[in-house]
Amino acid sequence: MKDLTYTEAITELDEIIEKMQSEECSIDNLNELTERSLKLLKICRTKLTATDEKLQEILKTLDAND
Amino acid sequence: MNFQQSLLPSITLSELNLKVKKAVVEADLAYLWVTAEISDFSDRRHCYMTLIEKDESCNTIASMRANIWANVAIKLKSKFLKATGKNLEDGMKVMICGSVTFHEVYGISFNITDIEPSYTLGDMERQKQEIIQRLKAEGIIDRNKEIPLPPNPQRIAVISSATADGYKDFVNQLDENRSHIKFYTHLFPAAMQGVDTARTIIAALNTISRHTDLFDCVAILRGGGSQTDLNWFDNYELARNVALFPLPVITGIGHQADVGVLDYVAACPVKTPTAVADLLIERCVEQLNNLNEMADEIVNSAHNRMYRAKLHLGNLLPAMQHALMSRLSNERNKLDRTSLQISNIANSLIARESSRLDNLADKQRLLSPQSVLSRGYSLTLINGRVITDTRKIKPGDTITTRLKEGTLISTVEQTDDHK
Repeated sequence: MKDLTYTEAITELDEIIEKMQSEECSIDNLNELTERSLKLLKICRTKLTATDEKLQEILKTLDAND
Repeated sequence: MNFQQSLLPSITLSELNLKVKKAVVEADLAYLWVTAEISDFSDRRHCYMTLIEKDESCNTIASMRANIWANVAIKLKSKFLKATGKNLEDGMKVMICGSVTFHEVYGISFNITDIEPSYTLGDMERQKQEIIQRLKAEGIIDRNKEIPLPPNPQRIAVISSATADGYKDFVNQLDENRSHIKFYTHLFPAAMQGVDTARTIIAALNTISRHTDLFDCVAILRGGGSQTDLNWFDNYELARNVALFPLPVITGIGHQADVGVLDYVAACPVKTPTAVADLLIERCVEQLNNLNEMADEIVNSAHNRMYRAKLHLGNLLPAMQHALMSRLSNERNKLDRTSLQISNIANSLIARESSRLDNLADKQRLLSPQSVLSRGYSLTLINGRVITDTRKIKPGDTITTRLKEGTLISTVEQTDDHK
């Protein structure tokens, strides 16, 4: 679950939504798919709006290394 | 030494220069239009430079000092800047009007009084087109454009000058976006004008290329609002580096009508640094909206699926009842058929057994002594025992013969011996 890139997460979201909308989606899967998609949504939102402190730290050290 | 030489007729240097000056004046080299390349340009109150001409191998084949006096220089520089967007500088091809003058101390010089900017423009355009054609011929002009900008370009390697207004505007614009998208910028400083432009930008690109995993794109931003010095960006090596760069490059180097070589090769050519910031923000906001839509879709899909399931269940009950009833009636029919079959089999079994019993009774009847006697056979007994062998009796014995009807009592006269 961790270390998904935004593009990976959004691609998986697209696939899940397509699955949920298809006739093949069973009630048994529904719960799992909904949970997973909400998790992915959260990851994407976080990536867009929350601070990635790890990245900030790395960027700070860039000048020193080059 | 060489005492004799002093006896030869000679003139002083000033006398010589006077002759040259006279010759120059007589040659009437005034108000001539000349094409040349500028070198050693210096812009103080008066402008000084050396005009040169090079052959195809870039060897200088002609050279002359030149100047523009201050009062003329103000007008010419302004006219030139307005037309070309550039200041006069080294390496520039110009068409100028002027007169050859000779000064006894400073020598020959070309005094410039007018300039034709369209010649320079044409030359700049020609150079630009040459670069573009070369990149096309090498098949790399669209290489950077083929690299997609990620849906969320939040990590930006900025190539600009730290002091440039454009760079500050860009960072402010990103930081203050109303959707609270988080952006990460890192500045890789480079000269954004002058002779070092291409070299320092290429160096910055090289540095960034060691950290491509940390960034989504590169933004080349030129600060300030001035339209001068733009064609420092029209450089083959720089264009080639941008074209071949592994991350999408966004340019915001402030072109207006003119489109520079970098705009032909960069993945996203945009006019100004703030326009670059807007592009990045819009793209991420689009993603935020996209996520909201997806959230709605997820909820709707789940509801729809549940609704369909309930509907299905609702339809299932009557269907199940129907199936149950038809199953029951099937089973009943099957039972009926089976019981009929069983009774048929039993009947036929009984009939078969009874006819077999009848046959047996018939046989028994045929074999009974009564039935044998009735067919004409008789039974001979002595002392109540059946006689089957004549050796058991002797003449004089009394025997009893039983017929079907009645009994005979006889005396034996003779027996035949068995041999």
